[in-house]
Amino acid sequence: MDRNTKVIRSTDYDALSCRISAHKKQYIQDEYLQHIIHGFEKFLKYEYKLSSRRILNSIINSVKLPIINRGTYIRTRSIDLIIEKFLEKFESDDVQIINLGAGSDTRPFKYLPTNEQISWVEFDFKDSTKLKNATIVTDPILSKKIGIKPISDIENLDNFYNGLNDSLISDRYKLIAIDLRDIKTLQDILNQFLNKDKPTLIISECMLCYTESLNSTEILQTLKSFFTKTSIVIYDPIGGDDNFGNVMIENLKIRNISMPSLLEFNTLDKYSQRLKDLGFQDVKIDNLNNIMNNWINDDEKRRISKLEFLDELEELNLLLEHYCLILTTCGFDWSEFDLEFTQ
Amino acid sequence: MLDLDKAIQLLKECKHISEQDVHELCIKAQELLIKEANIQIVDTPVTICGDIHGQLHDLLTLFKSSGDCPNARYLFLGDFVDRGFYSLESFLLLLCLKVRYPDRVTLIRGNHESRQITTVYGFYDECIRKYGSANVWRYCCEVFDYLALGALVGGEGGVFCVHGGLSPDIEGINQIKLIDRKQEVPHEGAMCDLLWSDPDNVKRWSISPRGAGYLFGKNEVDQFLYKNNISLIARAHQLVMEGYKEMFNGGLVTVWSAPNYCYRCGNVAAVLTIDDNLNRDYKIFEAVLQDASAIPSKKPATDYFL
Repeated sequence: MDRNTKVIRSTDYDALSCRISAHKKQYIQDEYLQHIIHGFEKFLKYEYKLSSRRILNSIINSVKLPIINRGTYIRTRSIDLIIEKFLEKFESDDVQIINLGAGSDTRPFKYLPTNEQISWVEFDFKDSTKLKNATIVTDPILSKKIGIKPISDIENLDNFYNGLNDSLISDRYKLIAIDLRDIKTLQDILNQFLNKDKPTLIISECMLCYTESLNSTEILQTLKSFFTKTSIVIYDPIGGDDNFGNVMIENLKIRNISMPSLLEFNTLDKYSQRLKDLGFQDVKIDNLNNIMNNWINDDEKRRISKLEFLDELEELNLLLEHYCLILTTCGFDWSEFDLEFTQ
Repeated sequence: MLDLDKAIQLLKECKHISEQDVHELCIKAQELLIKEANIQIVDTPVTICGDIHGQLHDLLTLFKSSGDCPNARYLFLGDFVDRGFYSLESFLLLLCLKVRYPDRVTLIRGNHESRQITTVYGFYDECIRKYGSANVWRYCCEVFDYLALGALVGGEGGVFCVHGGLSPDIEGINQIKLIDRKQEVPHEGAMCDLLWSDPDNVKRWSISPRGAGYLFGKNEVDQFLYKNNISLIARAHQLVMEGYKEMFNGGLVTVWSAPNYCYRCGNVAAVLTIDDNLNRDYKIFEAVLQDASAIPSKKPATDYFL
């Protein structure tokens, strides 16, 4: 694993620790997180020989501030809402959901059992998929949720992990090891595992931001031209036309994380134009602050506001204004999509 | 025995001072603050400063750009602690200056000068990390309970200074003088509102999204200015990207003195100097450290959604 890949992968642990914190504080409900942690406890040491304890500890025990919990809530909830609208729209069709850079995402365990029409595909770097594969196949609950038989009689954990595949291919759930920047392989995988004519929802949750814009453009184009009916949902930070993005780049540099296009597509307009230039015609975009205000009903807002005392209101608004959600649709009419985007 | 000048020097260098010295300083500060009124009367010229939030290096920049204490007179509007990496050093430095030059420094209480808030937003953890026990945090919290609730600058036609804002329970400044302030910040009532409320474009008193205090608008401000014969309410409490923001035809100003707040927000900071003729002069300053890398701390780097 090269250093940059390792760093990008570590961002998944950060996202996971945010979800664990938001779950503990009851912003979101995610009963599968404990199973993911359980798998990490067993297998993370094979990926990180020296630092697995420390990484695990930071995932499980880090306490997040109320602003981070609220941001995690709206990030998770807004994408869930889009998935649910998509499933409603194609109630009687077989559909595909693809998550680019899925990491430790638990959504397949939530949506697959209750929605028989879905086939779910997750992409990520091979070390990440292997860890998740081991976690799933050794966990009776997770295995059951995706419709496979768990492996129970493991004599030697070391041998088991060393001999395990990077990818997990089952009937309704596929976890595929790939570096998405390798377009040729992406093409092959699409041809091999996906049906170009089924309605397909593609999720890119904080993934394109880590890629050079040349690469992310290629990825988007490849996906767009493969499917006949597709909708892509993108969650990404945007640098803004203030100093926020510069500070963010500096702060992330300390952690060796780089976001190459943060300042390039730094406003909603520029990000949206980027997609239009790639031939996406129907592009809806908004910042997460507006999404929080417009998508979440008053009862739920009231529930959220009572969970934790929030002092840093201006900071929360500022932070959420620098993250965007995009929904772009090709090949089908999604005019009944009724969640408001202001742009 | 506490040597104040030496302590000031050490704190400016961000160095450790002994638990015993902290204790002595806090006792001295309490003896001084207990004699202060709920609303302190402050002479002009004075430089009014907003939230500091443990950004010690930026506090030092503030002194550098607006004049060293005791040469310049200062009024700090609270929120000395929490969020930044050096809450303890920032608060102790201000406290040392207060004890050393009582007439040149006025400190009033912010909503973060509270036991409950400091356990959530970092000051408590910082004390534990630096001293291995909660003693120092406890001494500081006892000082918090004695801090004044507001100040009046420049007498008639002058400036009312408070951390948050107005309260529906308070029409006149005289009413504030009746509050028994020596307690933890309550969850409701006048004392809570003064530390928590925010100005907004509302027609009347409204519920605050913060869960404490109220929102108040131009009507409330105009009435308060008129009834109390003052020209301005100076408050802090809310991040302002430009450092300060006047509202309601200049009847209220928010002053924010923590540049690049939380090492993330990218904002500039400001202080407001009121001269003998009650003229307002705003001075803008920027963060010393644009990024958190130069900050030697065991704290994890700034959080983003990754």
